[in-house]
Amino acid sequence: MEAIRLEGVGFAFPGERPLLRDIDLSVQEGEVVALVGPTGCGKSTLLHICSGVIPHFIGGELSGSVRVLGLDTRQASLARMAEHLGVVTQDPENQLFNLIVADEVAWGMENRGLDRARIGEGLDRALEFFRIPHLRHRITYDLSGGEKQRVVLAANHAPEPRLLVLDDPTSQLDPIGAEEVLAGIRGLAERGQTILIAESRLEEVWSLVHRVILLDGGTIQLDLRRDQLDHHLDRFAEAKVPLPQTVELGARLRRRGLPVPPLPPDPDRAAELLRGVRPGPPPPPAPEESRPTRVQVRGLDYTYPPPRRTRALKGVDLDLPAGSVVAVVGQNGSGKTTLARCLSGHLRPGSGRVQVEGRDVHRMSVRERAAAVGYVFQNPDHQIFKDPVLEDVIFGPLNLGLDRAQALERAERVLRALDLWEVRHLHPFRLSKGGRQRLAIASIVAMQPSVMVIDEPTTGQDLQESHAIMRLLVRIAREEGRTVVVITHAMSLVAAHCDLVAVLCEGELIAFGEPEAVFREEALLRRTHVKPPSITALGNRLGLEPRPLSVEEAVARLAPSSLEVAGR
Amino acid sequence: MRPLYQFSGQDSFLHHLDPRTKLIFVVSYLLISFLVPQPWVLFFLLILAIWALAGISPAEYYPFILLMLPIMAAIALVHLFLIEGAPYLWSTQLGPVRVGASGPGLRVGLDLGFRLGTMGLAFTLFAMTTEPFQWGMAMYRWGLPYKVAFMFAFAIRLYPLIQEEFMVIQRALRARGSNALGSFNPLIFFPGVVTAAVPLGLSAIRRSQDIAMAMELRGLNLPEETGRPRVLFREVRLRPIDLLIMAGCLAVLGALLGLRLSTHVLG
Repeated sequence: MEAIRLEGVGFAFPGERPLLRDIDLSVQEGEVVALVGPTGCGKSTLLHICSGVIPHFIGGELSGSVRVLGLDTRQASLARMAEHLGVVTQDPENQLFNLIVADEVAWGMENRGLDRARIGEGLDRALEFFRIPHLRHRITYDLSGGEKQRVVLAANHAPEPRLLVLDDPTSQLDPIGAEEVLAGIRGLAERGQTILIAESRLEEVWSLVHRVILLDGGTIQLDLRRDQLDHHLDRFAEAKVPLPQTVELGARLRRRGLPVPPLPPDPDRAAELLRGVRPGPPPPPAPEESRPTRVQVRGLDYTYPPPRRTRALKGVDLDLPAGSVVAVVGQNGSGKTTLARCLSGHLRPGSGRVQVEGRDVHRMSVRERAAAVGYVFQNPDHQIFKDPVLEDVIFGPLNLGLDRAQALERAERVLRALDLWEVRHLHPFRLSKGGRQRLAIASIVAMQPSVMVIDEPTTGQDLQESHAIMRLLVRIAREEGRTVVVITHAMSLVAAHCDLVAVLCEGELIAFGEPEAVFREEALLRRTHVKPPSITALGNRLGLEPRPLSVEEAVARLAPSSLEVAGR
Repeated sequence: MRPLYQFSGQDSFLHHLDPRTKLIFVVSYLLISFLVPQPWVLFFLLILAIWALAGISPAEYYPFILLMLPIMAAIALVHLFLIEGAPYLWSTQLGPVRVGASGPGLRVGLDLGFRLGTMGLAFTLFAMTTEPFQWGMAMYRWGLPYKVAFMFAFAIRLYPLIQEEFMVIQRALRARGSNALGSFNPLIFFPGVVTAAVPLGLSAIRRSQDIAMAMELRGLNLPEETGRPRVLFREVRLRPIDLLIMAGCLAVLGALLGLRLSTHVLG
């Protein structure tokens, strides 16, 4: 039976260009279908249409026919739709309404008027299914991101909906959280749950989907079975949607004439299939650059006050050079954010010191510190203070004592460099999330600190925007000689853009060096739940020297002299 | 340190009491603080009670005490100088006016300060030991419509998140070179609050829209739509110990009130 049937569906806000056009889509019960596409392609809009949020909650011009689980979504109320649906969105914080986990999971069943015995059974079953019975009596705001999202999934699964709609449910989570959530979704898929999922990281959902739909420009560009994807490499590249790295590698090696079968995303299995391929000779090593130390961290120790009392940093020593981009990685709770806050002077360590160009940051005034170390917070919306964009950028320089003319001069330079000059008269909240993230960075760059600490600059952004932000940070480091410290979970971005990577595990620095060297140490990284990019992990298994940090490098190593055959 | 008034999820005697019991206890305690001559005893007694019966040490809510202290001190100081009467602890003659710190003024000021502190602490006890859900459902049992009671509980659940968000915004302001929210100068502090309100307000609006949508999708309006009544899985029910404590509170309050009235009438 069809769970979803869309015919000639379009949607636009009044007076604006259509967000979706001519959408024909059929999803059978028991199918798991992934929607992929660049930011703004209409994924969330399509999910809103399928869940009845459009037209009942979000108004606009909806055309065509929409039938979900046999109901015409225009006729059925949102409450009626909700009876048969589970909907999970990106931010778990906005989907938790109760204080205690058990209350949260039971709430949907209470609303459906199930009797107490059935609610109890549903509650036990859902907690067990998502492996969270130990969280039953926990307070929801004390949970980690991954735990929260699993609670949300359990709460949606407990009433046994016929269709589950998931909007990028792992985008705000660290790798462990994402893995936990995906394991839960995988379990649901194996049980035959119908799932429509928008996911920016195809690599993550590869193993659980039956079909992949590529949306771009508001229309469906491709509707394929999973095993057909690597025949459409160019189309995915055009839409800036990355295929899993090893899948893309396999397709590109075949284009170069190598007899390579389609590769799976799992590096172990991909390595098995590539055993017969002989790599070319390693390229000559790049000349080493020597950069002076900008930030010196010695014996940094921090313990949170009661009731937490966690020793978050244990004697960390670090030397961060000028003009470099340094990634700080590690699982949640490993001490990354504590380190970043100590570096920027927002947190005074119990012992140890942080010196920027020889000066202790904790002996500086608020103003001096802001001039020396800039801190960009994870959520750009928490650091937008003025309207319009231009005023927001000059806010910091004015606080540092610059006059308006000087501040405006700096702001113009920065806004032009960050492609924000054209929107300088707009309210910051009219920018896209990527735009607001660039604005947050611009506001700190305009203060010209010698060190910039940036907390998760790419969370919630698609890969294209993430790379754009990271390229921007590299440019700032190289051209202006700043030290840029990035806290991140995105290892492919670390591999592609960072000069150094510091790995934290339970408050200790367990590795520090160039990504190529650090990503070799898989066993060490596993201690803090960090996985190298799958292409580097594949390089580790094949013994490639040096280890590839991108698909391009792997292709160059495995098929150095063959020519790419275009048009496949 | 927990944000102020955040529920502390311990498993204690006070946590297990019905919210209605705690509410009656808190109200009785406040009234008693006006009836006894040494309210400071009640202030410290409450700190001990929170520690012993709820397992929450003062280290977990000391910012609240620090916040209360200047207010309590200000009240004591005002009364110290405004209330006249011997014995004077210190005095001086300024022309025709005698300015002095009087013993009775100190006594009244300290009493009022500690009463205010006791009120604040009593509310802390209630908030830190009562789940918002229980709070809301107790109100539902008292006849409030479900949605109003649920939204009330949800608002309390949301409060710590907003407080944490405010702290992040405060740090973000410092990162931009402004320490307005740490200033004691009202001319700097209040404009700082206005500046911080921009991201806080906009994020609250955005969040409220997402939350409303998510609630609707989890069936908040389903009982009205289908006519099937909502079932509460976890009941809020008064136990014998609750009734005993309520009766005890009312008895002590009644006895003190009676004593005060009889003293007043007879004395």
